Amino acid sequence: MTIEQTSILILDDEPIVSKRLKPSLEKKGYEVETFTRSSEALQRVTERQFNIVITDLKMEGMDGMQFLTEVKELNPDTEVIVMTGFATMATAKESYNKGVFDFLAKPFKLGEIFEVIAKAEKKIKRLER
Amino acid sequence: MKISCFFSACTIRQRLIFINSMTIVFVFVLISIYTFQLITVENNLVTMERVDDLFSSILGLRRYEKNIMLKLDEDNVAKATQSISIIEMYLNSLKPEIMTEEGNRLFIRLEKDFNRYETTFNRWCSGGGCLEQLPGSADFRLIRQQGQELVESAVELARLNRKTISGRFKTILFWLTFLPAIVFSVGVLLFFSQVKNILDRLGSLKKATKSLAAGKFKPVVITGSPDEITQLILNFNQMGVELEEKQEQLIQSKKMASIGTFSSGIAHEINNPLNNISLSTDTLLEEIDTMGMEERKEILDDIMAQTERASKIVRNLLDFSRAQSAEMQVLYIDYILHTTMDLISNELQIHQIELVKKIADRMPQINGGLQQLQQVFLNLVINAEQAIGESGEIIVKSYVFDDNYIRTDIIDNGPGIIQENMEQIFDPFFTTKEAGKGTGLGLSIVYGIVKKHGGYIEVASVEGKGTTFSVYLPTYQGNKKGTN
Repeated sequence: MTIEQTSILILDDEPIVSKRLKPSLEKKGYEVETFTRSSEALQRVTERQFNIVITDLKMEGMDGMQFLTEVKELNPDTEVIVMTGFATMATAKESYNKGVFDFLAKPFKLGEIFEVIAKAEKKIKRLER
Repeated sequence: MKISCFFSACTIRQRLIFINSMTIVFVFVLISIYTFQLITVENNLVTMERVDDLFSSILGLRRYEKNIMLKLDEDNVAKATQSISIIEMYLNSLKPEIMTEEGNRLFIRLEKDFNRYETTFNRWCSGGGCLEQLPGSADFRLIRQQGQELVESAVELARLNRKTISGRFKTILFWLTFLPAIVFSVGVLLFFSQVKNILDRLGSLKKATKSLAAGKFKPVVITGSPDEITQLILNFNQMGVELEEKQEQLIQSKKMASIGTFSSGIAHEINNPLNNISLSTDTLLEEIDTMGMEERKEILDDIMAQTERASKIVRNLLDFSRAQSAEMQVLYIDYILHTTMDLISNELQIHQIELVKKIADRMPQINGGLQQLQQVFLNLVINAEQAIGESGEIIVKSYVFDDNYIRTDIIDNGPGIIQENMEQIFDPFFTTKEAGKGTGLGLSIVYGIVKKHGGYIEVASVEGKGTTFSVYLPTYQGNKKGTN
């Protein structure tokens, strides 16, 4: 356990995703904030910094790709994890070009996302040292 | 140049050359006939003149003969002898001009009569005997009788000559009027049969071109002999086939493009509820022991709802594919519209949306699937309703368009469609509605059904003012296949 909690922002327009992930992750000791609208999430990102951002790609209004671009611009140290229901080579390539940490194809299990988050956390810790 | 050109196996060019050549030949033949006839008539006239001269000489001879009998003057015998030699001369010059059998017979008779007369006269007058004999003597009677016969023969020859000339004129009249009239009528008939053949085929080509422009290609059947029009029809048919192929390719490439939207749509629409189910189940599995009843129930409800959502998508997909086939029947559009509006009027009232129906009377019937067409109008009205949201107006207007179509407009005063979405609205899974609210299949189902019915759909939208969807369905044309 680190003294400072790892902070996570989750953005998905499917409310159930946030509803399930938030309590599980909090139980694991993470600090979690969830959003279903990209505009609100973006607002929040400008207010404070998150260690990890998990975002869906296809959304109303500003889509996930735009959102993660903004996030990376605001804070390059933030690790971004992308969840998507439809992964193409093009979107995968674009995401990695933009410095996305990993890619999760829907549907996934809790264990899979925990694993990715843990890996991202490890990377952050290594960089901090 | 072949005679058969009139009937078959020749190009229009060959036919035109043939007809023109025939005309020229005909004109030349006609001119030759007239020239020949006129020359003949002229000859006959000359002959007639000579016959007349001969006749008047014979009359002169008979006058001298009478004078001799009456013993009037001294020189009558000399004058008569002179007349005889002149008549002889005339006869000789006339001889080669007599052509007909009848003329020959009369001429020989005249010659014989003349010779007999001449012999009698010479015998009678030699040594001045004629001057001394009294009237009433045998010689007098003989010469008078023979003179009379000579005149009669001459009269008959002259009559025959006149008859010949009048016959010639009749022949000329015949060649001049009757023959050209016959030839002209036959020519006109032939020309029209040729022209009709050409015009008929051009007409069917014209019709085919028109229907090709309307998007319905049917190869023109080739009839008659191969000529320029046959070539034109062949080229047209080939063009039609190629156009269809190109269109097919275009549709195919559009399909490929929409398959992108389609599969990403399916993936997105199905994977999201699946993901929700997966996460919920996983949570339940991990923490079922530490959870309260309420929490477990909530998660199970979520799973149920998400399953329902996924199955609804599959149902819509089935509707979408079912839109490809249905039983066709002859229907009145107002029946379809009224029954459809009945289904939704309650829903519209709840949302304070006024429905205005402007359906024309006595519209022709259409051929289609009732349920499919109901779905078309239901989807469009539901779309209009969802676009409006709360309180507004939907106008359903139906009328005959362009004689062969029935146009139905569904007009809403909602927010309209933004320009950049216009191209995609008929693509499967394209939606502007929130996740879980629309599958993006509605309009593509509508599009598929309308297309299946041989119709088309148009959309006009002004941002902030509203949207009009116009459905064009072909009217039923008896047993002719108007669909597909």
